[in-house]
Amino acid sequence: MRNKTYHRRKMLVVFLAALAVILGLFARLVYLMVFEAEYYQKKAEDLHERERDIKAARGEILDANGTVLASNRTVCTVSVIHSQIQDPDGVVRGLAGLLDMEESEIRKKVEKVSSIERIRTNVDKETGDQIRALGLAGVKVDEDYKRYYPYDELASKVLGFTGGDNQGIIGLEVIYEEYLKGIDGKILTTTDARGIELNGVAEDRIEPEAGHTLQISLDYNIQTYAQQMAEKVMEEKQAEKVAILMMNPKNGEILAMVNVPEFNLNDPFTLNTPDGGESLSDEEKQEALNQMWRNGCINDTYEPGSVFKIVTASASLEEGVVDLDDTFQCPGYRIVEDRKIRCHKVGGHGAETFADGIRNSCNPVFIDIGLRLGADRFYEYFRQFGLMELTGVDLPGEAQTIMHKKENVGLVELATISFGQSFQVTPIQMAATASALINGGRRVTPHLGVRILDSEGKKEIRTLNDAQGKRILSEETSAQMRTLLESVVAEGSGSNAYVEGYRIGGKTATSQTLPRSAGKYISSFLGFAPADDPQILAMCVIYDPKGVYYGGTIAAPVIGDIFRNIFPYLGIEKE
Amino acid sequence: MIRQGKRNVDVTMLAAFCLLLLSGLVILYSTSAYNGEVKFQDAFYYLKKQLFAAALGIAAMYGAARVDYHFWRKLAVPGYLAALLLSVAVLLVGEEYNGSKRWLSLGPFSFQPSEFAKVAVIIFLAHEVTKNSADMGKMRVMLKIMGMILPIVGLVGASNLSTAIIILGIAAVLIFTASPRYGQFVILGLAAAGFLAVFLALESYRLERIAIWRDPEAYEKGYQTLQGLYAIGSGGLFGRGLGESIQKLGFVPEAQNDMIFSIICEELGLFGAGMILFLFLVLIWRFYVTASRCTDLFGALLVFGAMAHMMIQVILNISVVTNTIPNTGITLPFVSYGGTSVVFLLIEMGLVFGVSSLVK
Repeated sequence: MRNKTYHRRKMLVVFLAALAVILGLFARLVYLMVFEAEYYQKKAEDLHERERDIKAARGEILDANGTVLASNRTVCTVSVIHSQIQDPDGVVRGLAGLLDMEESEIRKKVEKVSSIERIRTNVDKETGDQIRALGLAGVKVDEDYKRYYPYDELASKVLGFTGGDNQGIIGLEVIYEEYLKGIDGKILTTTDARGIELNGVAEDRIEPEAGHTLQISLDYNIQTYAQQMAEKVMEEKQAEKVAILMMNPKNGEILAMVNVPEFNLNDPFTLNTPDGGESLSDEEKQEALNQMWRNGCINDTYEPGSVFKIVTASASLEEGVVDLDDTFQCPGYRIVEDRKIRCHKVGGHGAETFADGIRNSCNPVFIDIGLRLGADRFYEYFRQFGLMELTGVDLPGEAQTIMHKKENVGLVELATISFGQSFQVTPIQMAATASALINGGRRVTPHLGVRILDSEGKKEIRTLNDAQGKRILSEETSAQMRTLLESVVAEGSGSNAYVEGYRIGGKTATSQTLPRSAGKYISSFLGFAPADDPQILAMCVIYDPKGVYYGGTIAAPVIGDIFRNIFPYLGIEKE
Repeated sequence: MIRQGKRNVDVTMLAAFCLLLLSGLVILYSTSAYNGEVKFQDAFYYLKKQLFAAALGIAAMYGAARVDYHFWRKLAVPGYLAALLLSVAVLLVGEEYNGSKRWLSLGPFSFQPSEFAKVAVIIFLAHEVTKNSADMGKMRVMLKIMGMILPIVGLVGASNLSTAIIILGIAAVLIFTASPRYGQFVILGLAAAGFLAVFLALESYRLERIAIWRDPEAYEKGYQTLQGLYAIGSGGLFGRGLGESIQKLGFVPEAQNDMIFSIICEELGLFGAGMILFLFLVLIWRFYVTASRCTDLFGALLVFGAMAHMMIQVILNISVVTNTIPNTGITLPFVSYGGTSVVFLLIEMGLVFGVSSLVK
């Protein structure tokens, strides 16, 4: 048979058809490999790459002089990569031994089919090196950072601490988290389908960015001394706790904030009780930990007692319902409606001027001027002084002032408010308000954060909390208050805070806690110096002291002692 | 009837063939080294077996090329019957691998009868069509010849649908070539399309394959297709470089088999893949030229059957890998791993060289 012309023509048809289809497929390839390439490449990369985080170093916290209060220490994270483990039993035994963990717990993770399983974080570097030295296939030891507090207990409730993932849990660590935390880096490795890393394929590394440095106004030396004083008085008076707060009344910078008993920031989950909370149930222990972490200056309210007379006096003088020379009569009590309200001096102070009334901390005098002021005007001043709002301190969990509703305030309530009872404020609110009343009349926002520096702590990135507060009291009244309060220390109930050669203002307080029947007291003293141009304001609050409980007797000397010791350090000269 | 002095060699065809075979082996090694290492602790495992088959095949090819091709007509019917027998045998005593019975074991060797069936069908059809060439325009004759190969299509299709489709395709091309008419093929084509639709609808898993084809990312079973696409897309213009594929590292399952073209794309890029495609095109073109120049219809059909085989397999394979058509398992000639396939492809090459040597 011959190969005829029509056969050849058909062959050409088939060949041309094949040519067309093959060219079409080539076009399809061009489409996939040029136009869709990016899409599929990205998908393939996602598939091939395994990510490991590199923790960023958390920013340091510096005190006013640059002393490091919170830093980082190198620790290790131990993980296992299931697909690379060659000797599961060896891995389980090796890790259980060095990490002091149950074998069963580790075995569960070793046998779990996953790309990477974390065994433990925050392993100290020494142990991490030992594990690395075992050379177990499939075990990864990554170094990262753990928060470290060089001074253990110092300002524990102020600084706060971080959790396992290096995130702030309480204190400044929470508030300034966004500056401190930095940006975690990544290691991207290419693996085959079984998850085994490929040699020779370059690792992609995205370097971590260290967190910024936070500089605070707290002064390590003042804080340390204040803490020693607080611990001393707590022990002497067998008090439940003692708080000392020191701030610059002009700008609200906090120089010291002590809440003893403090706790160890490097071991924040162990109770600061002698047995460390061994006997407690998990729930009780958590509750006890939460209590231990509370910053009493900010998170808890108390009845301010006579220190609050500063507020009553300022409002009354500003409003003009009293003059310094107005005379009052104190028989040792005042009857308001059907209630007999006692003065602390049983026999009474007799006839006295308003200035005497403050020096004597005489309750009937303040009841009189409080009643003259009336609830409406009194509450208007509370609002104006900022007492009814939060101070805005840069620490978490600030408690709100607990005050009577105005419509429920009768004469008796008004009388008790006048000398600082029947309502509650936080110590920080009391200190911030008093600062404003004696600093010339400008509200201040108490704060610790001063500036954010770069991670090396060299270049300033931004300043914090430097806004000027609004006026809440006239210069004149503020000046009168300074004079009055100076006389309280110079010749009145606050004389125990006197430091020779210095002009010091202040006010004492003693208040009974609820329930009154328990017979527990809070003693406090608020002082400032120099009285004519205050540069420092300090407050000491002693909770449930045993024995003598008068603020003028036990709290005032604490502040006096601190003042005596820090004035030279602060550069406050003798007159 | 060997006429030593007068033999011609189609140098272009020979060059294209040699380049394809060599690059196929290199690519096979590159693609299979990882899987060989993982499964057999021997990176050369697949290459060694493929080299052995290639050596065997080249010897067979050389022999086949030296035989006067008219001799094959005598073997057409017995060869076809042998293919039928072997296909029955594989259904009864075949070895299962990946869920399909496709292999016959002969001592240390295993043998895939469906690959032999393709060659047997080409020779058998060339013979039958030549015999009936005067009446090929008649529908009855066409159907008769189609009917003759249905048994082998059925037997092979029972375990290996893709090969059955290839055999049908070869038959269709040869009958089309032999017939002087066009119109009836339009009808046949429509009938085939209708048959295909019914065939697909009969089994829901076949429809599922179509759904996967349209959107491979939405289905778990689209994994292989998708991995192939990742490999292709990762190649870009020039590829990652020979041996540098990552998708072959277990992401594309059994990368040395059906999906090997995607690894070519990843390693050698659009240019490398284009070169392979170009070599196939040259080969097909030389087949066409040889068939067209051959004065004798049997010789022409022999070569054209081989061309149909090559063309259909290349087109279907690359269409599947690029997700142009739904997934079906078809290997890439000379490149994909498979000993039987290589041996019989080389024998086919021998047939073609044999015919070409006698063409003026």
